[in-house]
Amino acid sequence: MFFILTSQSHSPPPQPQDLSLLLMRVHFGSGTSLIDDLFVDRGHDLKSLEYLVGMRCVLFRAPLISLIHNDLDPQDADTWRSMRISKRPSSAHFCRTSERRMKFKASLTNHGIQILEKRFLQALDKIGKTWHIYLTPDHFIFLHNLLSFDGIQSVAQFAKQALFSDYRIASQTGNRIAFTLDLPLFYSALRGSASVCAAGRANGVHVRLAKKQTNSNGPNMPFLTFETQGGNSTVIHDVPISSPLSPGDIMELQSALENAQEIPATLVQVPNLAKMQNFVERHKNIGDILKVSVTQYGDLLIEVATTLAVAGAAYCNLGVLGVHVDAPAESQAMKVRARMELALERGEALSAELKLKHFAKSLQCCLSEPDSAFLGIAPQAGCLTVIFQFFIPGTHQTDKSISLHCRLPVLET
Amino acid sequence: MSSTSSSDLVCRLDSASGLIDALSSVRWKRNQDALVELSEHGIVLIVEESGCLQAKLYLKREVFASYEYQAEGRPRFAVSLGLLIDCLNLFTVPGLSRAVEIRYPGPDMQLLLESVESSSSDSCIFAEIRTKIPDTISWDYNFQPAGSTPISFTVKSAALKEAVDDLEWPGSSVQITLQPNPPCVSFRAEGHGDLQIDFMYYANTDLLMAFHCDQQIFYRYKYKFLRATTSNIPSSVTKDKRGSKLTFGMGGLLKVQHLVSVTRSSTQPPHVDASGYQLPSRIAYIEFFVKPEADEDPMNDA
Repeated sequence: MFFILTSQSHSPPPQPQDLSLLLMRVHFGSGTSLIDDLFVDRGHDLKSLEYLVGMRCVLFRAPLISLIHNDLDPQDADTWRSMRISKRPSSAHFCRTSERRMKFKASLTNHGIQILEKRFLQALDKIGKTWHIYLTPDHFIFLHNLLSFDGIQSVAQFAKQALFSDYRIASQTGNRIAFTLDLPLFYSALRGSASVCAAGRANGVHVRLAKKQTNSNGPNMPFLTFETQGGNSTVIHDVPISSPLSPGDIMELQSALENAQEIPATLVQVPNLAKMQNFVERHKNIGDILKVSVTQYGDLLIEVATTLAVAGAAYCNLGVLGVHVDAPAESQAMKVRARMELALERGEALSAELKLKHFAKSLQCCLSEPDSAFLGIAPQAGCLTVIFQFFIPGTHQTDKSISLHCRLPVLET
Repeated sequence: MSSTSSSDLVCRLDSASGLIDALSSVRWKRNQDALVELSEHGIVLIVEESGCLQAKLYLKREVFASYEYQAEGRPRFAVSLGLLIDCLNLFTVPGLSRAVEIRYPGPDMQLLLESVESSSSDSCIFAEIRTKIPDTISWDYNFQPAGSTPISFTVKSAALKEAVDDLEWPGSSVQITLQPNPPCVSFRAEGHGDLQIDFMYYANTDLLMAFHCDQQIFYRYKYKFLRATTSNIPSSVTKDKRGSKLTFGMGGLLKVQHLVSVTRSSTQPPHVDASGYQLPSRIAYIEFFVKPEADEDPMNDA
């Protein structure tokens, strides 16, 4: 067993026993946040390297890895933070520095496949076809229309442990990677992988970013690759993706994400989501502009108004999140529609008009099987927000590892 | 909606589904206005097209769970038929189906629909439909039977619909011929090809349920008008194996009558008598009048 370690500085190379420390840090450290990039020289026997430290280090199973030590003192924990883990860059990777050091590799759990395939991708597919995938050290996020608010915006965010058993990411942009893809292709690839898994022939689905040539003379194209390893075969689905977003675009996306996560002051619970969806769909023949009004008492009024008809539904005594006040005594006996007008006069209600098709689309998220949904109006943001809530199975506690919400642009009146 | 003092009519249906079926039966175009006439006996809804086709829907007061009428005279108004159906559809969401109260007029002469809720209910569905002053007086077809005995036949609604649907292939116009000997009804269309469908009375008594004809007659009708009479027959009619009656009047004026159940609620069983037949009180009567094509053979009325 022989290792060549090189140094960018003139420091002495680390001793073989230091490798144990290094690899233990790789294995037990907090993933990519501790060690960014580690180069092992090409062609070395990595199984032996694992043997050396007496453990199986998943990261080192790839055959082409180089290791470069670029710090001064291997005993100093701080110096290891600058070490990076990545595949040895191919020639195509030298075109862009940011892409050269970009890595994403993860293993989908069966539960993660189930969540995505059976629930979320169906819902997201109804909302839009083109999505940003935004990968951070802790989250896997689907974003729709976040950089241009000319339609429904949607954010589906998963903590990495909600979907993946092994999740490794590295990039020069704070270990964040973002790109766009065609969701139906992503859905199709996942379905294909899931069917292999369902047949009991697979050891899991591995997802990674890769660059591949689509023809012999063509340039390398970026793909999100789903690799399903069976007993005697490996099924690979390559989903074409856009070039990774530049650091500036990622900053813009992050900023848009933070804006999109602002919550209206009052949210009321949407009564029976599936029935509401059916009910709203039936308004499509009557008109295309929907008026939604929400009071701080827990009232909700949805109606379509045209020159020929006004039709809708009024709900009261709904659950409220955020600012909640009791209805005035004189309005207790009033019908919801009358009470709504009073509440609007008193500044205890908000009303917004929006496209019915946007609202109907947002309710398609019930395909993701949320346990409840809340909606509220954010007047400053000019949008109506619909938040879907998921419980930890078997409890009534919110599952914070999964979140889904939509923002619908309101029409100026 | 508790006060009825200012309304000409306040009536209530256990479920809107049956009424939607009945209204859909007389809708053959996307944009159609219906003339609605209210009376102490019930509601009549009339739809017509170009003076050649008219449909009348009779909703007797017994059709409704409650019917409070206090107008003088017979209020009439026009309303968009499609919009009325679309609004009634809001009251039939599975799991949300509920009784609906119909009121006329609202503060601005609207037709008001509202779900009937229990006092503990936390939701309410509503619709306000703008009405119009009817600008034309519906044509009175003054249907009179040709000859001393009305020439008519009754056929299973499903069979009639199937026959008319099949006649779409040749298109153009359809000639209906009745001959007494042997008793037979023929539908014949000539256009892109020829197609003739015969209902032999003795051979198909389960399809052709009644037949009254003492002389041969034949009249031609535009296919699109004939099709309008059967195109939206609700599935409940075919499921209940109901019959449709076709009667020929003076000059070949054709009257097509259907019966549509308006008690189609999952929570409320239909009103049935001891013998198992549904009581007629929950039945809506539908009549279509179709004028024959102009180049009619005068020999028919001889």
